[in-house]
Amino acid sequence: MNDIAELFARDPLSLTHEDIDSIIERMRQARTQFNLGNIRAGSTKPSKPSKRIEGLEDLLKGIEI
Amino acid sequence: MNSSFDTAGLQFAWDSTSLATWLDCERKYQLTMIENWVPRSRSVHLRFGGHYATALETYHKRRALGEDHETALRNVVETTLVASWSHDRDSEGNRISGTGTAEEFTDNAKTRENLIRTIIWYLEHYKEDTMTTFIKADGIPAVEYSFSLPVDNDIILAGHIDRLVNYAEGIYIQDQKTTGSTISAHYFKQFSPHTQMSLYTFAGRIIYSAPVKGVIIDAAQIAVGFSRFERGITMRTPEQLTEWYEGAMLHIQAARKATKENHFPMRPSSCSNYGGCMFRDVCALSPTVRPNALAADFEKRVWDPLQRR
Repeated sequence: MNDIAELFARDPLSLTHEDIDSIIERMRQARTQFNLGNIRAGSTKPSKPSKRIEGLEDLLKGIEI
Repeated sequence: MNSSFDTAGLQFAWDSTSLATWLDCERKYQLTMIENWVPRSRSVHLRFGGHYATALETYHKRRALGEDHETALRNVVETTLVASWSHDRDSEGNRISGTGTAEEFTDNAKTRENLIRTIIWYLEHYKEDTMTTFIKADGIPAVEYSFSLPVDNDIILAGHIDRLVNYAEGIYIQDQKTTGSTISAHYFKQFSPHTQMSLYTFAGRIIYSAPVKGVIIDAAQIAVGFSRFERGITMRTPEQLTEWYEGAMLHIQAARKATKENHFPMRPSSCSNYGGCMFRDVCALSPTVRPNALAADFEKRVWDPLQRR
């Protein structure tokens, strides 16, 4: 069992703040790795989600209901 | 006892779940809302989505009350880990440390670990979001709001709004969805027309006395190795809301009439929707053996639209 699996297998009432921070840090690292994977796939463009949000916001600003 | 039904046994308080069930199939409405049958094991998708929505609601509430990102994030991770662990309880209902096991998620992607991953990744993804929680006139952030709105003919519309937000110079209701599928423009098309989104926009405009334009849907794709997020919006004009309301009231009256007459025919065209109705195997049997099939695979649990979360 690896570190993070061991933390998830433990009674959460026994976890310390350091344990929770460790889980968060490991998840952040996994996210970074996932995002890096996208870049290695060959795209040099900015990530799609932020572009979509800006586009959506601009679109909504002009709509009156 | 279901507080959403009157003494004559007719439903007067309606949420989007019960209304959508009625619109799906009269027999399904009878089995779930009148007879209270639900599957013995709660769907993994409902449990995962429930934990996820609760965590994000809690995070936004804490942030709106002034807590910083890191503290609020740590809190929701901790509370979600506890909420997804089945501790034994003492006589007062408190969790007993050192007991129980992790909640089991019978899905490759929607696991407990991936639930925590999705919460963290979502809050990192939208860390610099321009969307802010709407603060009501009394100074309280509009998060986690269970509403019951009296309308015509002694009917009450009820529901639970995750969060009201300011976004792109407008006011919207925010709703969280999770899916195993890739999120495309097609995914968001399912929300218009859509009972829940229309009801929430309709109710939001009255409850908050604010010109709510529609619902912003933050959808999370949950895969085995990653979680991905997309934001979509479904808007409603006042004319659309009037049209929806008039239709909803007609459907509600029809449901009450059917209940009075105890007349709930099947609607076979709905049996295969959303991966197949949970009652399909029961309805496929001869009527005399259906009670045994229900008792074997289902249990009684009341869905009460007026019950606050």
